Amino acid sequence: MKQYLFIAFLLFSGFLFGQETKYDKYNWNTTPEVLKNDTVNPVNGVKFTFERRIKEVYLNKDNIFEEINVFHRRIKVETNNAIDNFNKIYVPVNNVIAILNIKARFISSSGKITELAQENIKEVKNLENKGDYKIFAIEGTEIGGEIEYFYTLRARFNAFQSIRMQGEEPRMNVEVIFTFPSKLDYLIKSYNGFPDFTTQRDDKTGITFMQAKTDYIPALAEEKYTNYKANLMRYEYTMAYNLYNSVLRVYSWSKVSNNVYNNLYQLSKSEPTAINDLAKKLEIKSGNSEQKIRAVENWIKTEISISDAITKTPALDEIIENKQTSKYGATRLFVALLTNLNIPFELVLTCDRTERKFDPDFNCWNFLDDYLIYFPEIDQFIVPDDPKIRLGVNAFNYQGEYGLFLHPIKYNEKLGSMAYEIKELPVLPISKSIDSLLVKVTCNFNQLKTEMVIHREMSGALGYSFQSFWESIDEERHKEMISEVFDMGDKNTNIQSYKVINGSRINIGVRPIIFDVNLTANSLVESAGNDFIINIGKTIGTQTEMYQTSKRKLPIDIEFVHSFYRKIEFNIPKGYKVSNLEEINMRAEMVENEKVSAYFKSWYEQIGNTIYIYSREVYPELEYPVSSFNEFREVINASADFNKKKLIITPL
Amino acid sequence: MILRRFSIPDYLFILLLILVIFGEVNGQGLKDFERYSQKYPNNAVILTSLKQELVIEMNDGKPVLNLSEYKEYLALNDNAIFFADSKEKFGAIYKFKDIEAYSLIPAKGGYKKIPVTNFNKTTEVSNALFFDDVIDYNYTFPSVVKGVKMISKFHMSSDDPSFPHKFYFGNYFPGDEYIFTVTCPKNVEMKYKIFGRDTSIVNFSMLVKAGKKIYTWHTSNPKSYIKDDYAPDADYYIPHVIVQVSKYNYKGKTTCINNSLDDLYKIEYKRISNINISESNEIKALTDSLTKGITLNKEKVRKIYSWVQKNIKYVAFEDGENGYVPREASLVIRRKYGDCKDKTSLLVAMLKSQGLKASYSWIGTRDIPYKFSDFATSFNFNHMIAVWWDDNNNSVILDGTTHHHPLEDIPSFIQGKECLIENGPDNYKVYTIPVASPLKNTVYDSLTVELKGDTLVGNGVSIINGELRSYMLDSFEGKDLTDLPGIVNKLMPKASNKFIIKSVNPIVTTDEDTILKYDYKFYLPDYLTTNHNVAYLNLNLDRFMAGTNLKDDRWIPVELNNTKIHIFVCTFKIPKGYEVRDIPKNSSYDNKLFGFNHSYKINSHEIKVKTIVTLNFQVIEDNEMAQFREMLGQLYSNYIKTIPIYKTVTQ
Repeated sequence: MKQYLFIAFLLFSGFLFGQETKYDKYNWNTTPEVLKNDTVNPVNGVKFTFERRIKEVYLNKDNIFEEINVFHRRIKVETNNAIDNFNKIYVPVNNVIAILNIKARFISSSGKITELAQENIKEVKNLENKGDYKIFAIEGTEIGGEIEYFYTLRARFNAFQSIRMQGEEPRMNVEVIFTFPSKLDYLIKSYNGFPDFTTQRDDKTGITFMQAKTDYIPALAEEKYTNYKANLMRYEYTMAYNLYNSVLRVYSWSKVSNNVYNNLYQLSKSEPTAINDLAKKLEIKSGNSEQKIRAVENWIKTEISISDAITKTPALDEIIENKQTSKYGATRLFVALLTNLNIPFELVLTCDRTERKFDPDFNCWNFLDDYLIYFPEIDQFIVPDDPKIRLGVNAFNYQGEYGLFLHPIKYNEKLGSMAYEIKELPVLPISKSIDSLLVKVTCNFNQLKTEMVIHREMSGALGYSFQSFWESIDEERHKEMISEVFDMGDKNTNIQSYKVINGSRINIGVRPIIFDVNLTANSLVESAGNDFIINIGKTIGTQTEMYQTSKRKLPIDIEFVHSFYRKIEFNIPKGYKVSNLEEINMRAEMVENEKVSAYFKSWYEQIGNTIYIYSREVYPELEYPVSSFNEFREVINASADFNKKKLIITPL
Repeated sequence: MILRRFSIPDYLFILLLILVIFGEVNGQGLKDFERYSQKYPNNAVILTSLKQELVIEMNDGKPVLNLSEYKEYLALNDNAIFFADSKEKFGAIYKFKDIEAYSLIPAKGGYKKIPVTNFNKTTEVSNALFFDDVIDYNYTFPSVVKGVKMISKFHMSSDDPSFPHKFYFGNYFPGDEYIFTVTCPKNVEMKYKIFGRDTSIVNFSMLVKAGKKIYTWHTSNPKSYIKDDYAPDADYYIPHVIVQVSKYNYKGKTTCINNSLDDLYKIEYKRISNINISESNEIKALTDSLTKGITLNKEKVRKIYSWVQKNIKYVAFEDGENGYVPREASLVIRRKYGDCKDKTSLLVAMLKSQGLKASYSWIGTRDIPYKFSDFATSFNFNHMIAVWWDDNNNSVILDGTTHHHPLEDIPSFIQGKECLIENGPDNYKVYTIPVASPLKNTVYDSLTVELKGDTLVGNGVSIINGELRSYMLDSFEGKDLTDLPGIVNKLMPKASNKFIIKSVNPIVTTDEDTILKYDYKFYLPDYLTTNHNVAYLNLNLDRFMAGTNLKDDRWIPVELNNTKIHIFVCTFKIPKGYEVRDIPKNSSYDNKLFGFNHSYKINSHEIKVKTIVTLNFQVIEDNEMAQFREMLGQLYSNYIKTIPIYKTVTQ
């Protein structure tokens, strides 16, 4: 999406002609490495012993900004798997004007060097739609040695970028160098513990040199219930001033507003009529805003194919006529239709919080990846270019994330712009996403089988996860899904019949999906001499567990707030009694700021020969700090423990 | 392990076809829609027609191949937009000529045609490969709403008549119409064969018209083909036909292309005949040092094989015709990487440098259901291995893509397959690789358990050989001791996910090819159920195959990665002051392909349960599958038997 907002930044100035660059001839020994810290243990047989990234911004002969990018890495490989994972190198060459150098070698533990022959570098065109790559495999590898490679690329200018500096392997001797003419100024910010940059200005050469260095970046493994990528060390940079041109701030939020207005709100000649006609055709003048929004969204997302394959965005009249558009075109169509129908909305630019957290204190374009449309009247938002989702479930990867909210201000009929505000996107209330499960259990002790009648309703974000695709798949796959969702252990569950209500996409955020299922489970009753054991906990299905106790490193994120309610009804067969009902009573809760936050509790009641077992599991907050992990784990594990609950049935 | 993929067609579910004049604007639209909706009430999308035409023409005295496809999908509800994104793949064999796609949207009196305007060309690299020459054309059908037809067409051609072609009569979606035609001049002869299950649904006819032979296969197949657990490759069950040019006559001279296995061998032999002509000094020096002091040929081979397994990394570059030609051994040894052909090239050169007799051999992995001896086609193989002819001139298989398989163990993914072994320009041998006895893949896991309060604690010992050993050795490599409990728990899961392994202690031996052995300590809370004077304990802590539920209506065959014997022993020490009054009955199931033996033993201080499960097949279907389901049912019911343990009266 960014390409539409951010037109290539060209400079026009009369007196400079092609600045000299320092790093275009970078080689193995351009900057001698002083390697420190060889005490680090490899992780999975790997450690990066050296990593250097250089970005040098300069003016080319035509007075256009360009950059030299150097990437240099050395990897110590101590297992065969490590070699297999790191011996294939992909060099992205999109936006590259010239490849100045690609070099690779293997240095064995005995010091033998095998250089990569240049003819073994291959080109791949548009690899899986991620652009062109140069690829090669490291030659002469053996355990205990080091893979080393660097590449120097002359590339088109990038005014801002986000770069992750951490991964699943430890890194040592990490250095980032960023240089540019001192007439430019950049903002650079480090996150998640990556060191801050230092700045030196050389008045003689007029070059600014920024640098961040560290001897050691620890390996970070993936963990459950967290946004792994968003927690990795990284830095963000943006050009802030270009004194060749003016003293005003560039690439700021206020600058975005004009671009958005011109590109997204302004219609070309042929467009207004097409939008008018469409609005009339849709006949959605009546109803409240919510109904209107839903009608617009359903029409666009059903009738129009929104495609990544379309690289050039057609005009709105063409989109309506040809029923296909790029993602950006879908956003424009929403903006035009909603404006035409006088539905109040704000356009939001933000980023996926599972990837990065929007920093409200860093005025830049870095976090403006995706478009959302926010409706202040109902405090909800939609994702205009994702046909799977609908109003009412607030896509979880944006909930609670900051965003740049824009709304148009009109100076007169022709002249307009956008006002902006940094705000948080709404979190879908917990009452909207509920999973309730009602199970009636009847045991057949002779055959050790259990019959179950199940009624389950899933609303909001929970329902959406099924409604987004349910009616796109056929019967065979429905059966398969039902078997999986209602598996009561060991996949030994046979579905006798099922019925699904509200499965289609138009129900997303409006009505819960409802499953009525009859099944037979083979795993619930165990014989034990004259007694029987009923694995009653298995009726709620296998639960996520966190029984392993390795030290938690990352904060907790639960995707979206939600809750479970479960009621299990069980008739004690004649001539038998249940002797350990008190086992059912469980409670685990976490207290945040002196208030109960997430919890799990289960209890029972007995009426005559019928036992009712209830449980409630609630996750009311999106995020918790890592310090709350143990309490959180107890709640998660409580439901996994409940899953193991057994009732003992003995003859009277 | 991939030698190379052949042209476009063998991508599952991406099926190809012909041009047929299509009534784009007629009044049939709505009627069609109603008919299909009634016929397929539970589908969002169906394949209404897939037509492919292969036309063979003579050009400069040689047959050339032209392939065209017409494919039509119909959206039956408003949730079909998922299927708007589409792509076609083109490989190196057939040259891409053109592609067209459009939607037909119901309009007054017929349909309105809206063309796809953008085709986004990308390179796709499959997981097993590093570099691939397959190009995708990605596109999106406009407006995929109820009643809309999605149509795609393409053409491609090949000047090389030696490559076979495959057409599938089945798809991910129900297919209402499949038509495949082959048209060729009278002087060209074709060979073909139908494979898969349900092949009787395919109708075939051949007619001669205007001096041309026209072969037609057609059918309607409402089945929706999806993969199931333990399913073999779709080529085992989707009905499909393979066709190839067998020979042609030009000006009185007959040229054989793919008429017999001899012809296929000639083509393939040519590809290997020009490599490793001269001996490499580097290789000789290496093998001399590796085999120094070894007198037995077999031990020399073992040393060389193991060196290649350990030192040559698997990296596969697929690049047109190069995909079939092994690289020079001297290059492979310098790079220290290669694909299966390159590793074979090196193995053969290394063996020959020691005066050992060695050959290249083509083979299909078990994904491929065909046999050289049944239908000679290059679709038979996708892999290459080396063969050492031992002192008695028996063929010994060396698969350089393995890491830990000893010389005696052939990897399971080529067991039971025929390989075509090169033996000079005019000689070859077809050899069927034996399927390993289950004993070769024995997993033995034994626990000793006692009670500490309500928690089970104990020690285990595992002894593993064969395929799982190789896999575990790969997983253990370079890991800290503290990582091992997680790995063992994942690969050898127990009945409760609360089974916590505290430590794993591998028993290290110097002999690389020996069985894998480790012992471990564990505890298991919340497993025992107690009630006043009784504790209930299920000793089946390992429930091998418990998660395998073959549904009653399953028709897709069942495939195992390898034959195996799984032995589990659990010895429970009866705590003081407790007694066991009764134990479950022993039971067993016996059949030549699979079986189990489940037994309990008890004495005054311990109970021992032992489960032995034997699986001795690769693929089963129909009756055998029904019996297997029955066996699994019995096995499972054994697993859910719990033993009550009573406090003795004196307590």
